[in-house]
Amino acid sequence: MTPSAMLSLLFWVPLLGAGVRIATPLLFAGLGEVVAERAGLLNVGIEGMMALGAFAGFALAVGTGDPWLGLLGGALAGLLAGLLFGWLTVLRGADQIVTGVAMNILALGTASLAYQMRFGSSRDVPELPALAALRLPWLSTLPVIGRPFFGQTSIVYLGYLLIPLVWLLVERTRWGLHVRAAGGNPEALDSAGVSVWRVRLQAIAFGGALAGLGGATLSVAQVGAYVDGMIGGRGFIALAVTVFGGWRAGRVAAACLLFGMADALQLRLQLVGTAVPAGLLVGLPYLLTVAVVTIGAGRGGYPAAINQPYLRRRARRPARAHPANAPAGALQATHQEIKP
Amino acid sequence: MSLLAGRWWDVATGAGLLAAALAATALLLALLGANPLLAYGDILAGAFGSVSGLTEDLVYATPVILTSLSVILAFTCGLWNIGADGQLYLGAIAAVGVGFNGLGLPAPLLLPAMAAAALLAGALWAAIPALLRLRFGASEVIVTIMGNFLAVTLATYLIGGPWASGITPATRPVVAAGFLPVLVPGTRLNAGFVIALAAAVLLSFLLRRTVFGYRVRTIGQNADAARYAGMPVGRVMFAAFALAGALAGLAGFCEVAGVFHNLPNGLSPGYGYTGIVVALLARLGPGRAVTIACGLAALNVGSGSMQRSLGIPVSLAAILEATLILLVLAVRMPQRRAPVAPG
Repeated sequence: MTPSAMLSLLFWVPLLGAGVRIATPLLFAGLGEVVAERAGLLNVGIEGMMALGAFAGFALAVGTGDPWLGLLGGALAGLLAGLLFGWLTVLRGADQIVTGVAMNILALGTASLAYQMRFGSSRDVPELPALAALRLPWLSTLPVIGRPFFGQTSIVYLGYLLIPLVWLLVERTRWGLHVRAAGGNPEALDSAGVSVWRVRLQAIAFGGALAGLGGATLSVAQVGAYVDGMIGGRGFIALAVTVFGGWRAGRVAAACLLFGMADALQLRLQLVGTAVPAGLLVGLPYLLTVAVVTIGAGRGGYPAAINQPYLRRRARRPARAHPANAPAGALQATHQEIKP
Repeated sequence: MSLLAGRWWDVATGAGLLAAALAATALLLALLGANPLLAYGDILAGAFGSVSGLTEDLVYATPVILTSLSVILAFTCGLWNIGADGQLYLGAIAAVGVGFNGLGLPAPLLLPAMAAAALLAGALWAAIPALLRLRFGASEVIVTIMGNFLAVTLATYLIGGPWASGITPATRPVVAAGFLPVLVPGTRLNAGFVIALAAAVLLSFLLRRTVFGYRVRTIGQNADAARYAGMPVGRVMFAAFALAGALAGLAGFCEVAGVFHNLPNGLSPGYGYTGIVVALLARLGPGRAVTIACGLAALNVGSGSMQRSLGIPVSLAAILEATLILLVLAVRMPQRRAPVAPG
């Protein structure tokens, strides 16, 4: 490819359109994680919740013939997984990273098992028709950005709507204040008479539902099929964009678009051929994630109580002499892990 | 509590949790329209019913032991190594690369050279997240997971491109001098299993009986206290993480030299993640990890034969493992959060 072709609008406009489409599942998961992390919950299990949402959404869309019911079902599956994560980490005080890793194994395994038992025996793999594009009147005729941003499927517009909604919810509502307090100063929230546990459970349910919706968007609205491993690390990339976007809905959305663009660029370069072999270009989003999480970490700023269970209801027990039972040290280690 | 807080209490709790996990998974199977008793019977028969089943258990256990040791070393130092899978791949890539013997090494030197390359590759791959974590504060959880994806990308590229065999979805085979000896003739059980056991003994010794191990444990329990005591916290953490990567890299070497004799596509069905499960269930004890790794390996091997006879996918094993871990988390909390005692 010549450099001049890279500069032409004909190259960038379709790329932007693909980038927006690819960014959408990530956007849902990222916005959900913004709420969860602001409440103090680091959800390493997003990848699994997305896979569960992708399977549940696909199965439901095939079963009912209605893609929107599928998307709803995906969100519901994610919500239930989020509540399980919440039960363990909030109510039982389990470490969030361990729980997230185990939840990933469970959810990825369950999605795979359920898919193979439900659809594996039939020779012809069921496929869904992709959602039709909906060109928004007037907006889609705007120069350059019109088609890429406003000539998409309706699920993408739902994503656009969620960006200001999540921002309003977190920054401007009473519930958002509670969420921020649950992640920043749970003791204060508790002394104000609000249950930290309930707020955190609500936040993780929201985060899980959006992760499930993200997964279902991928399987139902974009690919039209469920494949094991189709999430392909998007759940972890969602964690990175949350950090990189500074836990703010708008910036996280911008970071998602960056990833969508990188992925779209990588796919396009594979087609046209470059000096870098196509097989290695696949790694570009993962490399970008490493870069982004490093830059994001340099700025710091995780919510203060991230990965810290709030245990007031069960009176803290004094540290045991035996090192195997040392909660204080262990807690501190995990705490430092996340807040360097 | 002191009366109950013994080894037998642990065993009883473990058995109870295992039963609960089996029951929960049985419920899922029943929901999906399969007979759980038949499935469990098949798993047992597949895992323990024959010599080939029993040796396959140990073949599967070999990389799981090594990745769990990798996870244990990092966790004991307060770091999360979710990237053992990627480090295993890098080790396998290095072992295969040296094993083609383009350098023309004499036969007795080839295996040690392959092992050294695998150790080094795993250590270097782990050094990247360690460096980013210690220097910039980047979460090693995310970076090691990305490392897994990148390692698979690299392996897939090599298998499809420069090192392609042209016949199977695998690289060309290594030369015969790069094969580990088989322990039981007619099976795949090889010296890699002995290497894994030796690594467990060495790690146990390292953690319990050396200055480095003492520092690792202290930092894992309280990095601030360790710093206050004058320990070079950053350097120990870096060394521990690189060594953890080397252990996982060794798993890659064992797979290449002991089992496959090349680098196949999909080399690891998630050994790194199973290693995490083992490390947690073993409460970070290398000795316990060997036992538990063998148990989970039997579960996976048995599930494989169940898949062949009953058509129930092998992911059942992953579900069982994860359910068990989640039950342990639900029951042990909050007094025993991240267990830190090596043993």
